[in-house]
Amino acid sequence: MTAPLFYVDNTPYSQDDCDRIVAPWVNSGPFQNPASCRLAVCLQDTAHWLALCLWLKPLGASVLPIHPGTPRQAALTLAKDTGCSHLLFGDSLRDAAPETVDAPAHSGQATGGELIQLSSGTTGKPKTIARSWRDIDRELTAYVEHFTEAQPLTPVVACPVTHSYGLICGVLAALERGATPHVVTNLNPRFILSQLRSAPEHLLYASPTLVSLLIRILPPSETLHTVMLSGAPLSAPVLNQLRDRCQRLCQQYGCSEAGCVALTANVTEPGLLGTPLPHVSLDAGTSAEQPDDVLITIKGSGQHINTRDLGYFDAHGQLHFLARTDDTINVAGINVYPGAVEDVYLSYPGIREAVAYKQADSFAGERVCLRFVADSELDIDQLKQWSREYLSPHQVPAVIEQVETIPRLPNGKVSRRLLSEAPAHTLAAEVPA
Amino acid sequence: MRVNRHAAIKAALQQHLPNARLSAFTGSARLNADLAIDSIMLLQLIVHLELEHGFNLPEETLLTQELETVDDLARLLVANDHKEPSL
Repeated sequence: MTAPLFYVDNTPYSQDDCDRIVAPWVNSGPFQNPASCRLAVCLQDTAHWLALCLWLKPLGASVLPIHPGTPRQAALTLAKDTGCSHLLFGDSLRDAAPETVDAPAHSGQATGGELIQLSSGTTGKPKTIARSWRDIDRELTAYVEHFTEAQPLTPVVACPVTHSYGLICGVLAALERGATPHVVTNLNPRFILSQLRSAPEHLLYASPTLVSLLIRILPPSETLHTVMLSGAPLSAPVLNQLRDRCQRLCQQYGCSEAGCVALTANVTEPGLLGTPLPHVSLDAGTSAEQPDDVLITIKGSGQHINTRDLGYFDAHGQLHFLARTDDTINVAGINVYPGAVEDVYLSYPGIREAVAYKQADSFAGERVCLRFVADSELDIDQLKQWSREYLSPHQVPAVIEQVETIPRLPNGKVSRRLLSEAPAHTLAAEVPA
Repeated sequence: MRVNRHAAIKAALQQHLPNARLSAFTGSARLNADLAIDSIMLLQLIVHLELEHGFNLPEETLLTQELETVDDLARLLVANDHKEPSL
């Protein structure tokens, strides 16, 4: 038996296994000419998706991976909207005959094929992003070269491998450095802990929510080895809690168009994103007082991307994230970053969640507002009074509301834009107590 | 014991997952389709059942199709008394 290429839960898959999985499709149907394929793929069996992806990538096919939880009709719509010629939908490759998608002919496919993805849509409607495999290979080389701390570790990927973070940084980067990634699809928290125990020198790729939950049931005598964070930076209290429970806490930053662009192998404060990867150059502000939009230039293609994130480089050349440009609150000309306000309130005993957002104000332009969730009912005046010791006057929220729950987008992120548009009392009315 | 498990699930939902559609709660209610519990909420629910109600899902339990309804979840829960191996 040949060495495993990757694991899915407890099952090892070698190159031979992968070849067997894709064998029925070699030289048949749309795969006769893979380089002209534009396939949407939605398979329940993660090993089958990975085997297919690893087979098609060097052949220059274009692929849109779709999260396995997606219903067939929705997958078909995604395939159509992104100009795919075929949809593979089913439990495994065996029972997923490629069906032709009645989509308008797609033009402009890059030679060498593309990975097609949909951006998360935190700030608006999701958009289609196609990246050439060549571009992704450049990112992989840069990622592995930059992130040397990962070299001796076993990546445990407990996030979807149909998305960039899990697929590119979790699985493909592991293969690039010659490691065997362990992909976890069984989300039973005890099962994930057992996987981490069986690979003591692990590098865990997971959402911050999942990591926080795992740490809650991790016995006090144990720690996790290395944990990667991505997406929106955590609040200071949550970050500190995580730092106590793992030996190394890393954070990476990027966007769908460019992949990962910065990484730190030691997060010491919430917005710290580390130094840029070698395949990009980044522009941002020069200090916390003078932040600016984070601009990405991809060296290989010369492509420029405005992330609409506000950040700055410190004296050591480390990039820091302050806020989404759209979320920054401008109070009479002074910028207020929601995270700075939230961290103060989250340090108040009993407050579990806090979200700061803006509301238009005729005098100040914009005003800071805050909604929080707490274990018991708190006296708002007292809370406001307490916060004056930690916040500048323009940072103290004009309106503070205690709520039962803070609405989230389907991807688990808070949309401060939606909070700004909907007053709390209308939201409360929609959620029966 | 069966009743206890159902009561624990309901209590954990009530206390920690206000987004779940609790009005539809019965043994045969489907976690996702009827109670609007997604995979991350399910994970939260399991962690609360473990920390506050003394139940857990043994590590070999798969969260797959066999786990569709409240009854399925109740059946998979075991009392929390075994010792942890260390990392």
